[in-house]
Amino acid sequence: MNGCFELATSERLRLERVEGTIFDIQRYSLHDGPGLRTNVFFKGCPLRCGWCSNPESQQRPPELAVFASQCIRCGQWGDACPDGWHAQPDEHWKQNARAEYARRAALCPAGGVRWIGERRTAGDVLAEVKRDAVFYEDGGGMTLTGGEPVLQGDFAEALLRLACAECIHTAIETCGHYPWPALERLLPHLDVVLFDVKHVDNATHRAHTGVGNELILANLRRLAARSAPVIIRVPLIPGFNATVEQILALGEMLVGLDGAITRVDVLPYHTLARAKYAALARPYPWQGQAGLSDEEVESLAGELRGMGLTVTVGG
Amino acid sequence: MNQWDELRANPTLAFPPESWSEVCPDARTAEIRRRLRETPRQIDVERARYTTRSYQCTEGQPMPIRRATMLLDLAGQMSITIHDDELIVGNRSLLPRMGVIAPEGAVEWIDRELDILPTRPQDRFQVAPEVVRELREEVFPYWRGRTLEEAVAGRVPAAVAAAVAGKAFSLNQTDHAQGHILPDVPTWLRLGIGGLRAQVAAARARFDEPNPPTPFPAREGGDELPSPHRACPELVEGGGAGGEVIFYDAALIALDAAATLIRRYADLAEQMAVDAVPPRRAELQEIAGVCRWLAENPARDFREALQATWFLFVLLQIESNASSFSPGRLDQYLLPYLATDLSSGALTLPAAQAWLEYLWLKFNEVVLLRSSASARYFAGFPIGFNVVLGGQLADGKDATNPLSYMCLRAQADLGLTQPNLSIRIHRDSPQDFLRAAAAVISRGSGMPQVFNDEVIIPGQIRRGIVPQDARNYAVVGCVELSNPGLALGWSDASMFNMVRILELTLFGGADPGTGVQIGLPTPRLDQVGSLAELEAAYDAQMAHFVALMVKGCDVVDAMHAEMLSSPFLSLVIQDCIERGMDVTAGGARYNFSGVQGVQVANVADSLAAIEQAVFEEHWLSAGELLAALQANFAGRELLRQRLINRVPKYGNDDDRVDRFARRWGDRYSKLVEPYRNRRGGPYQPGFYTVSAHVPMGADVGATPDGRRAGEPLADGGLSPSAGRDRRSATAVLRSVSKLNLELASNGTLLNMKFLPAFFTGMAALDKFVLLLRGFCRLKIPHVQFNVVSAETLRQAQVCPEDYRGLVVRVAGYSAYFTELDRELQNEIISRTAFAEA
Ligand code: SF4
Repeated sequence: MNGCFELATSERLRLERVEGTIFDIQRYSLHDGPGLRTNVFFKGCPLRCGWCSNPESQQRPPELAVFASQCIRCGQWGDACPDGWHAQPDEHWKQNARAEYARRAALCPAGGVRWIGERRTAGDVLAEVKRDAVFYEDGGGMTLTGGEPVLQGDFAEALLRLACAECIHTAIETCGHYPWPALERLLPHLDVVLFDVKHVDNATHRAHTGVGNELILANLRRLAARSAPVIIRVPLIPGFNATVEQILALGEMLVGLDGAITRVDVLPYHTLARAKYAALARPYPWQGQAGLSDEEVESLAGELRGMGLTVTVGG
Repeated sequence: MNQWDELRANPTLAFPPESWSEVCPDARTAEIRRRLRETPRQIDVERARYTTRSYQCTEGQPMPIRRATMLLDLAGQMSITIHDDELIVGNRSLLPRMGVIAPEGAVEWIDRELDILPTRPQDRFQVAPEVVRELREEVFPYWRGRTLEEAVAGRVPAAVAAAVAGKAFSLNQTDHAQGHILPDVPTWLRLGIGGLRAQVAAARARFDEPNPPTPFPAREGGDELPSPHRACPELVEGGGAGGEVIFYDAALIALDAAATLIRRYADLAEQMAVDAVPPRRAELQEIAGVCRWLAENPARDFREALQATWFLFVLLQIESNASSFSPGRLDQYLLPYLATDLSSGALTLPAAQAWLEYLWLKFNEVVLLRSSASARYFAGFPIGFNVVLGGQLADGKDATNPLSYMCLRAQADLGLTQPNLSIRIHRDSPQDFLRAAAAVISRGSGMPQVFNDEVIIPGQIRRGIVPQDARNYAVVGCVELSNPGLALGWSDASMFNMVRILELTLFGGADPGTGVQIGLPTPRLDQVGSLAELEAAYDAQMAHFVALMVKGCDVVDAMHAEMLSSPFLSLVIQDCIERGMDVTAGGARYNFSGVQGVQVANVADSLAAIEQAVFEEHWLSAGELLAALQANFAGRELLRQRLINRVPKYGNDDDRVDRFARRWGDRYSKLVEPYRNRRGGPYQPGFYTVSAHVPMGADVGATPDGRRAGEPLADGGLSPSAGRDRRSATAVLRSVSKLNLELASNGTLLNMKFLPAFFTGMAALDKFVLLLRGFCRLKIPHVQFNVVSAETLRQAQVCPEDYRGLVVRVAGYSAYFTELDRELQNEIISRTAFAEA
């Protein structure tokens, strides 16, 4: 798409060898950019949002997970893996048990014990992305997401440039928390940026994501100033930002970006990730919050629409 | 602008997006639907009674005459009714949904099952005691020794019978007429009974002169007939070469039969009108008028066209009592009549929609009585009134029209199982049409199914069908591809169990349970040194059984020509009249025999497992695998799980396994296609099973893909094994597309399951259409989408292994339904159940 230029063979080979850590390649993704897309999930993120739906994306190194629903209690071990796994959910214990569970992962017949995260080359990942090329018409393509793709800048750039050379539409979903040049270097190879904005108040942002929002908002302003194609992604999180007041403040900030930003995806909070937290033997952090009803979501989306923004629910 | 001009400018007005979520059949439609639902299914005795009496009177006469006389006797004597709520009338039995017995096909299984019909597991019927008595005393005794079933059994060579008994393949249509055909609806509408009579008389007159017959007047278009589909007359007993005059005489009797039946409906309506109160009296008088006209003349307007179409199928069913007489491209055939009525103002759009739905209801009034064994293969009384919408015109342009949208709307309004609704799509299919179709699919009836012109048309041309005819293809029954009014496709000739044959190959041609040698003696898995050697043995076994299957099918074909000539059907299949030859004898322009390879997924998964575990990674010895299979994995669950989870599986776009699907799918096609049937046309392969993957799985022991003995095979035809597709819908489509499906010209079936959320909202429908476009580009002939029900999801909680492919899609998040925690699964289930209610 962006350019659709040819790469010199030597350059292509170099890019294909760049490695990064990802935890999934999800084909037929419907909500992360235009058309049908293949999402490449990067591992490692600078934020620690309490409602995160991809907890396995937060740490960069590969980690072990035990999915109780897949376990068939194969009897190879004294205990079934999920039983021991949940017994002592503290990091230290998990470090000690690492060797044992790595062994089990290699022998688990049912995919119950799994390594999450693997090093892959950009060439290898792109080959998989290209498999769905036939579905990418009408704007579909590749979305880098995660985790935070910008944190693995060389790998992200390699993927984007390889995709551009194949005329595959490119998108990135990013949390925005990094020095500007890290994103800037990727922009020439991006057709659209899905930029997450979570809260306008710095202190609240810090309290619930682990970092303040200065860097994020500064990066967003720079992006807007360039008139780069941007879609703002706002997770609607009860107990954090899902109030009329907060959403209005957020909308005002967006409108204040000189009209460069017009489209917003609001992503209602969901608890689909609970089983993944259990698999990682981590407590589910965003406890005690009722989900939002469809009506509540619609009315919050309506507030943003009232400010002249184009809003979709669910991406 | 009149309503027709408006519609032509914007066909979506016939089914606008605002109406997608409403269900709005008119009051009459709702009433008829209620009556149909409440009518118990019963056994009809009249078809059997009058057929028996008719055959008793015609002994010694040529079979075509006997068959035509049977139809005339039935048309004149069977009881008919007009229900109080009907405007389109006619049925092939007194009450709707009756189980009709055609004793000329078989009586033994009916006699055997008569007492259990009300209680058997599938497809139950009530039977009155006096019906049982009449059948057993007056019908069955005459037929013993005279049925098709017995004749076939007597002629099938012993080696073929042994292979059938050994479950290598089935021979179908051995106990009833074969149906599976698309009659020439447009010609029937255009000529009417009188026009056809004139055509037959003219053709017959060529034989009156002392000279050799003059050539038949040139056909429209005047193309030379493609040679591959011509039977050699000497091959065909009872047809051609001297049989023409008999054929024509039978055809004229059949036309009298048609006129007789239709006239009786006119008479009945007139009588009923006398006692009826307004407004029913006027309705009955109109019915009488329409029937009186159609008894001799062609249809003039939309209503008459609908009524005439229905009479055609009633008559075909009375003659044959068979599955899958399919209407085909009704959105094309009925369009001129609709256009006339909407232009003149004789009908409004809502009125036309209601009339269309009355016909739709009629398609639900015919069910097929099957034996318990057959009902296991085709459960739920499928009768196969397949209607296909859209696609291309003969010149390659898009064929979608306002009536295509009206037919989609009829399905949305009624949600019934018939007609079996299909759409054809191609590169230039309108976005609006696909979106409307997606909206109907989202309602969860599995309809419309989707067929792909981009591969089907080239596949047909490859089989010698001229391009204009190929572009006019339609669908027979479930998914079989054929040419309206031109072909006897014989599409359900056999099901060839490739998985069973792989099982036999692993054990050196012997059944692993009994040790009985069924196939060729080839080396067992533990006697070969490489996968290539095993595949060579498999190839030999496949070739051996394909040859036997063809022999068997040829016998069945010959017996149909001898015993079940179909003079009425032959009137609506082109070239039969011209050639003076019955359709069963090879009178059609195109002749095929369709044989299905079952099931690619299990074969590919099994070979990949053997390759990886035994020959590449060596974690399993051949002997150990054979022993585990023979023991049905008893005590070897760990091994079974490894075979399931640690070996690549078809349906995930993984070339390591998909190459076996391609190799053996294509190999089966190549083995089949050189054979010619006795009607002069080619055998052609298909990949579909409808529900036969269940009984056919029961015939196969444990397999190396981790499937236990007797468990169902993969469903559909080209679908991955249940729960083995864990990647994505696009990966499934990619896997399937690796086969050369242009070869599978008899038809294929791919089932895909989706959670309802994939269809919620206009944006979701648009994304779904993108999937359809990709499907189209991948040149896969068919796909059917099932929106999973709450019930299915509950089942997924019980056996997660079979549902691992069910994905949940939310922005920036990846998960599988079976990996969610229980509470969330329950939440999705209750949301689904709520949407269903
Ligand atoms: S190895 Fe796998 S199947 Fe066996 S107990 Fe552990 S998780 Fe369960």
